[in-house]
Amino acid sequence: MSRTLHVDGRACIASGLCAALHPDLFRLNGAGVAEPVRRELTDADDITSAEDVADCCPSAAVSVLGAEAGGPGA
Amino acid sequence: MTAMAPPTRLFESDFYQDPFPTYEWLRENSPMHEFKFPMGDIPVWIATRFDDVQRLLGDTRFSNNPAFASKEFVDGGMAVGQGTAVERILTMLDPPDHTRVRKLTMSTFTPRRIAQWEEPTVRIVEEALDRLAEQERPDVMDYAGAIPAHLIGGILGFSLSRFQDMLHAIERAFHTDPDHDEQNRDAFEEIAEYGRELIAHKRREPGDDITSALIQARDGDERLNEEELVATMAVLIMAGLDTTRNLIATSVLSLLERPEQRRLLMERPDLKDSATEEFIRFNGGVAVGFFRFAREDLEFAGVRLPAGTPVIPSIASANRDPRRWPDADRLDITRDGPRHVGFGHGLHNCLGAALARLEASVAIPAILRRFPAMQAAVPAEELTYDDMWLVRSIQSFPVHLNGDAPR
Repeated sequence: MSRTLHVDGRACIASGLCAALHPDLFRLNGAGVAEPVRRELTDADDITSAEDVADCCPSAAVSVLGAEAGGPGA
Repeated sequence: MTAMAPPTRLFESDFYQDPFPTYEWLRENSPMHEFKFPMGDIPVWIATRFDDVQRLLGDTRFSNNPAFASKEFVDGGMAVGQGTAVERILTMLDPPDHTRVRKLTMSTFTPRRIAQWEEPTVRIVEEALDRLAEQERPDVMDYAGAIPAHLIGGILGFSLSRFQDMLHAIERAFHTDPDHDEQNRDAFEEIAEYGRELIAHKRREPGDDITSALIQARDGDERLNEEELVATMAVLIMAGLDTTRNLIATSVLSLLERPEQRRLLMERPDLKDSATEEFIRFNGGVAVGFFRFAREDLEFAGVRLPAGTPVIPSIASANRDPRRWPDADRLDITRDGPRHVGFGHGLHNCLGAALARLEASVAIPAILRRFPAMQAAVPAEELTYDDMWLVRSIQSFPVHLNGDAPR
């Protein structure tokens, strides 16, 4: 099982929730905007953690995409 | 070690009237500052620089849960909502409980759902302005309070008939009078009891509202238990009313004091979003975050903190730090600078931020547009603020809606 972790930098409001919840999966850039530490997730616990963050994110900026989805277009 | 002390004693009456000179002193002279909190006479720390406050809010070596607090802090009756349902609010939980409750709550509070409240907000604001115009002694606090009361009422699915009771309870709950810890507890209990009544009501008559959604919210086998439901209702009432009320009121005050910014906002409606961010930065209602407790002996911002040490993140001070914003004490609605911490940061960042932004961005310009000649009826120095540590709360803010009153 593998998933792709995606953060929509335009939707992100730099709340810092993701990096506080799972610093192993998310970090904040200089402007406070979130980005994934790594995009490909294979570990089941990592995938669950990423999905938890996606559900908690106040701006719905985090998504965990299925293996076949190659990430968002454009 | 110096014998110098800040210009006012922290969290006592003079401080509440104008905390900003004291915060400036602290940022310059004692950015991590130890003092005795007036309630309980307990030693606590306060962080005042932006970088420290933001790091503190995101640092998982600290917990909001008073289970990690020193014994003297808990014995001193300082833990928020101690002995009531409020002690289990989302704001105080750590993962994994925090994650579970936040997910379930967030599922009812999505950006899309909030966007649906834009139209009702405009209507609520216009109605509140109509009522204000009818008042013999118009008071901006009445206007500012009516907006979150009606909106939160609508969102939770009932009329906030006990709105004034709730505001009064919130004020008592976070009051810093050393002799009143019994009163604090009673006030928290009153808020929780109201939450229980609302849940019972919505169980009988479910509707298309957040209370009903919270009762029904499920994530696989997970759902909110009774205690968590009550705590969630309590936190929505506590966090949704007084914060936004004071954000609206202090921002109207800021604009009455600055005719140039006021004119600019009227001439440039397109600035409403940057203006809203600036209002939240400049005097955003929430004065400080909840206490953070060191989970272990640790070093933070150059000071050693034993396990259990309570630290207050000063939101109001961080947002005026000149290290982050040039000319930080100047209100500038065109500011396009870095992000503030008005909604916190990290795990406990504000769940209702989108709603607060919506309310402020409609309500603040609308009152100035409706009453272009409005002036304060008393000088700003004569406005008084409650002795309340969480929110900077104006007691009464009378205005002349059509300029100077006849003498």
